[in-house]
This record gives sequence, C-alpha cells and structure tokens, in this order.
Amino acid sequence: MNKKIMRQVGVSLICLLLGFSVSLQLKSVRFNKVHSSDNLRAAELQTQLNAEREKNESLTRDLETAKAQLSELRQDSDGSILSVINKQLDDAQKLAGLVALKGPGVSVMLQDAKKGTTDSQIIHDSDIRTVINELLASGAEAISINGERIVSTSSIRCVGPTVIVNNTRLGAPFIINAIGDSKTLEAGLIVKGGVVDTLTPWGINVTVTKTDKLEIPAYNGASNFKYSEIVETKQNGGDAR
Amino acid sequence: MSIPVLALLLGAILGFAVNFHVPPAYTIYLAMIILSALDSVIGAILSNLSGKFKLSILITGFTGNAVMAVVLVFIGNILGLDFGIAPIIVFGVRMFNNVAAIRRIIIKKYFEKE
Repeated sequence: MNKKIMRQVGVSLICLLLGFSVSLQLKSVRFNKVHSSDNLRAAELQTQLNAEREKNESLTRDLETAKAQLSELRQDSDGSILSVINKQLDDAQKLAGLVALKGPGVSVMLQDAKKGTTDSQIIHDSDIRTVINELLASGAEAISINGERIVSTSSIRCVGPTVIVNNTRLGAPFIINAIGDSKTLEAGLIVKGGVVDTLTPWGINVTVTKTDKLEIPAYNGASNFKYSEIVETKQNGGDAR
Repeated sequence: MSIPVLALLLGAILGFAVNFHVPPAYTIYLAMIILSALDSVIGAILSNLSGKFKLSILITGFTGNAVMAVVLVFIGNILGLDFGIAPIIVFGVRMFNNVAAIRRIIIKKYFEKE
C-alpha cells in the first residue's frame, strides 16, 4: 500500500514537472517569436512598416486639420492675435539677432599657444568655426565672438593675425559666448575627440566656463539685402492646408 | 492512475499562469528536460504495466537523464557542436520502443483473451 502511494507520488511529480515545462516552453517559444525582431521575417517587418506608415499618414492628416483649426482660431480671437504676432516677432528677432539676449550658457576662451608661433599653434578662423558649429549643433540659441553677434550672414575669416567677424577685426584671445543649455553645450565641446581635444594638443588654450547669466549683444551691422526678395505665398485666409 | 493525469494538468496550468518567459537562448535546455520527463513518464507506464516498476529507478533515471542532456547541450554550445541531437535521438528511439512495448502489453491484456 505504502509502495503504491510512493509510486503515485513519484509519477505525479514527474507529470507535474512535465506539464509545467511543456506549457512554459510553449508560452516562451510563442512569446519569443513575437517579441524578437530577429525571428521576424522580412515580409512581416514590411507589413509592420506599412501599418506604421499608414498610422503616420493619418496622424499627419490630423496634424493638418489641427493646424487649420489653429489658424482659424487665431483669426477669430481678436484679443490673442496680437500676442501671437508679438511672439512671432520675438522669435524672428531672436533668430535674426536683432535684439540682445540673456540667459544661461557657456563662455569659451581660445588663446594662442604661449610659446611657439608655428602655423598650428595659433588660432585660425577654422578653429573658431568648428567651435561655433559644435555649439550650434549642441543647441545654442545665440552666439557672439568678442561681442560680435553671429547672424545668418556672418562670416568668420582670417586676415593676417586677426580674425574678421561681421567686418570687425578681432584679436586673440577670442571669447565665444553661447546661450543654451550650459551642460549640453559644455558636453558638446569637451566630448572625447571633440573640438577641445583637437585643439589642446597644439598648445592652444581652451577654457570652457558654464554660466547662469550671459548677455549677448544684438547684431549691430547694417542689413543690406540687395538681391533677395521675399517670395509671396498665400498665407492669408483659412487655406493653411 | 488519475492522480498523475491531474498532476499533468495542474502543471500545465501552473506553467501558463506563471509570469515568466524563458529567454530564447535557454529554451533548448527546457526542451531537453521536457524530453527526458516525457521519456521517464512513458517508461513508468511501461514498467507499471509489466510489473517491474521501481520508484528509485524512475527518479534517478529522470534526474540523471535530464542532467546529462542539459550538460551535453551546454558543452555542445561551448564546442560549437550540436550535442543536443544525441539526447533527442536516444530519448526518441526509447520512447518509440517503450510505446511499442506498451501497445503489445495492452493488446495482449485486453484484446487477446482466448
């Protein structure tokens, strides 16, 4: 009798384990098939892609209708239209560099190597351009070099020992101020293999300082657009679509 | 004989209910355990029918086979050789043999009562 019970228990234990592992295995295999993209055939991926594209299209349509609604609302509400226009004006001025700006950011000082005046030990226009490009890539909203605001038409070039920015001669040391997220800007510059890493071995002194309060002056040059004209687009009316 | 069947069902329900998925790299090991468990259960049915059942043999046989199969697959993974084939063939052949023996015994017992 005791032996029979033991027998039942033993077989039952193995049966329990068998059932458990079979169902767990079934579930796992099915789960892994669905959830690992390696196992998905290209065709399945294609259908997924198509589905996502359709979703994207419908979302774009939604966005367009929302935009149309927004423009209608802007026209309807007489009170807020002014603030919208003011906001746009502010943005345009910031973008064009026509107003002085303040905010957090970084200050980068570039100084020629102390000893030695070989070609690669002095700062070139290209070094400054690299720094500015890196700052813009890291999300800088406004940049100035020794007080000269960088705008869309600014050029930076070497003339003899000086660098000309916005037709103003600047000499070393160059102090580049940039408004933006100071951490991101700093990280963009001092990243391994980045601009600081490239310049320091030549003896060029690069100092990056994070600040909470930076002030960047407005562009003080004249704007002379002789050749370009604004292309007229139909923007009035409700046909924003 | 109905208790093992109930245990099988209970195990299946538990397996589906448990909130855990075996990672793809390890499903082969679980498959080995399934194979050796299936082999042991069929072997148990056969030995039960032929009256040669021994609990110790069942338990040690199952554990030993499962461990052996898993270790073989593991070594095969390291060596880059598909050692999993060996247990699959051994268990497969034995299961077929055992099922054939069970079939003979059942036919003898219930259909050839002359």
